[in-house]
Amino acid sequence: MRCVLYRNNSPENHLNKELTQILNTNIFNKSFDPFDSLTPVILISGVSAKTTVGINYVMLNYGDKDYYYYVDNIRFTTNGLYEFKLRFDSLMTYKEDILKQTALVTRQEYEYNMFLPDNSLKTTQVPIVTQKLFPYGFDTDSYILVVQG
Amino acid sequence: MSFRQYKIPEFGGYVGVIIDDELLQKVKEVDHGLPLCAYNQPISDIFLTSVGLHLREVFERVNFKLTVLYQRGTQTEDSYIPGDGIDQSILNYLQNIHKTSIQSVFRNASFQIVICEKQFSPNVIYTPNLQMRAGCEQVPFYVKSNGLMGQLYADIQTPPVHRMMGSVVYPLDYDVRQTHMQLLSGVIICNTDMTDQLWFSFIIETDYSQDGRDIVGYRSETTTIDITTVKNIIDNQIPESEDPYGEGDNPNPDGGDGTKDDTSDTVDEPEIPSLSAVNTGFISLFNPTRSQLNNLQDYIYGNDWWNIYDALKNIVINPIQCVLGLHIVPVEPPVSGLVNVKLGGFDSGIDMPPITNQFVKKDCGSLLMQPFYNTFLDFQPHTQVEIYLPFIGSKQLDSDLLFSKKNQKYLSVSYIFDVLNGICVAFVKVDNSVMYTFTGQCSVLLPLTQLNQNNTVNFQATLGTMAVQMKQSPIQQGFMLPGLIETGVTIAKQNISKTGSIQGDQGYMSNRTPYLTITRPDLVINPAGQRQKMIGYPCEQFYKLGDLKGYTKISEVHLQNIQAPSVILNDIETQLKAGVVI
Repeated sequence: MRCVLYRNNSPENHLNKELTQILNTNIFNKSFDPFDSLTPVILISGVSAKTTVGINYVMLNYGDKDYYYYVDNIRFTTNGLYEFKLRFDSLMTYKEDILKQTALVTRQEYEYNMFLPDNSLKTTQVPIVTQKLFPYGFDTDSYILVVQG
Repeated sequence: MSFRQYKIPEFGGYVGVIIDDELLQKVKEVDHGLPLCAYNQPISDIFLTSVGLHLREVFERVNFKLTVLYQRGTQTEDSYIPGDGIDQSILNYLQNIHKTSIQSVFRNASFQIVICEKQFSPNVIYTPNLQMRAGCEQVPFYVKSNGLMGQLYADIQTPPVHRMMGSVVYPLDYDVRQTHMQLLSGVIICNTDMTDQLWFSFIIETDYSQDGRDIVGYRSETTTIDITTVKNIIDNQIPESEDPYGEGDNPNPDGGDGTKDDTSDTVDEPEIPSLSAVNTGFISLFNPTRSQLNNLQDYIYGNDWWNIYDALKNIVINPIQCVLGLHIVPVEPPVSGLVNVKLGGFDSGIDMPPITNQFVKKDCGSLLMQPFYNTFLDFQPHTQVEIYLPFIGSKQLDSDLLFSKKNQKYLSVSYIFDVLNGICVAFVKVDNSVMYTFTGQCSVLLPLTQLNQNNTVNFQATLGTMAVQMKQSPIQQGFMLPGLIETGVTIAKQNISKTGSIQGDQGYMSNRTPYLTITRPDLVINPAGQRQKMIGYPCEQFYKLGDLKGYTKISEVHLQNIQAPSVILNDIETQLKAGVVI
């Protein structure tokens, strides 16, 4: 099975990962089904110890589809292979399908309504106090005399 | 015949077909139901799931009626000969499952619509590789249909348009699959000028059953659906009657469908009363100057007892008893010329300007209310507005009424004074419509006699006590909770009244111009764009995620058409709800 090792420069919550390819190789596992486990372990040869330092992301091609994984751990085994402990990246793998979905969006970077309450905002304990005078007051006084008749 | 088109937003194109009634009848009678739609756009091999999604919404609103057309046909190598008998048991079975199964199919089916690049022809439509059938072999029943298709093609004299075939392959439930049946649904969207209604049809095809019996053509005819409803669905608009919060004019007894009529009348401040104590004959009001008052005092108390007129005046009447009151008001009453003041019918010889109306109007002007943040922070409970009104005191105003997210509003204040009693009424208007009315006492009583003096002192003392009580009440009731503040527990700040009731003498000595005190939250401003980039701002709208970019957090999604196990679907949903960057 074809396997591409990457350096991922994007946070995990990014749908599209910014990847730098390091090595294009094959895995040594006899059989591999991406749906067997979301945290599979694969065996790879031909990787130098220096190279593994930069690897934190893997793409495995299964069938006609690419499956993406985070690399949680890399271990050198006694038989000269490198063991990669992976964790499935469902966002990157299914990003095309995800982008077709319609959802109720609660927070967004560019599409927002600032008149909706936002509990994440913080205010200081010292409020801003302003005073505004109306244009006209009462500057004239008058005597009023009330008499019978 | 005419060509109707319906816009599909995601696609930016239009869909529509014309088939006349006669042709429609042929389809009903002869064909299995012809899968046909049309596009008026030059499209080549576009795979449109978005169109399918709309169609599914259409189907959910259609009531289907099952009609069995053929059964027990005979399949040869290149043709299919339908049988003419009806197996009642199969018919009953199909009818039983029909209602729920068909609806569930359309609720769950993934429609795939293939746009044919070339102009419509039977060969294009019925090319096997365009058929989307799952789990069964190709059934060459299409050969049977060629004649009809040709007829149909000949009958439609529409301009060259690109046509597409819409079909869905979806297995029925488990019991149905036991009989090796597969569902193939075709769609015809058509309308005529005569009915102005859309007509839908689909066919259900079966694979061969093991015992050689098969049902090749039974078609579910549809009821018609109003074209407006379909158009709304296709335009991705929710029909009025569907959304209880939508526009409507017939309230639903179960709630919703209110009128949403937000028109509002302007409540004008009242005109001054038309009737007045002046000119009733019982009393007279004057607006004297200080020197005129001095002269009056001389007339009342400066008696020359050797003067016959003064002696008679004091024996017949006591002039001071004819003076009902003397006070100061903060406005100029309307006057007219000079009139001799008569006390008990005796001419005092002192001229004073008579007041023509006891009511006086005074406008204090207006302030432009501009939002500070132009966000929710400009409204309750975040922004608090207090207005100080001379002779009345401070009053809390609702910032929700004062600020607008669309327009700037004007806040204005005006008074009506009763110069006879010293009562004033203040009108606080927002955009010239009265929102608040407050009353107060504005006159300063001047003692004329010993009795007057006692009453005046008592009255002012009472007012002063009231004011002190109002000032002290928040603390006396323990609202301050200083201990909680020290321990850092966040509590809502208490609104502490800035003045009590200010009336009479107190008002006279207090500030004489109305003013606003606005208390706003001091927002912690983050470096430019960081908050927006990291956690976004509130949205609460439905979006296709592909139309967005940047940080996005959702609350609801129904993941569709993702071929992945449920554990992965759950993971995707969890991550979308936690917030992702698109």
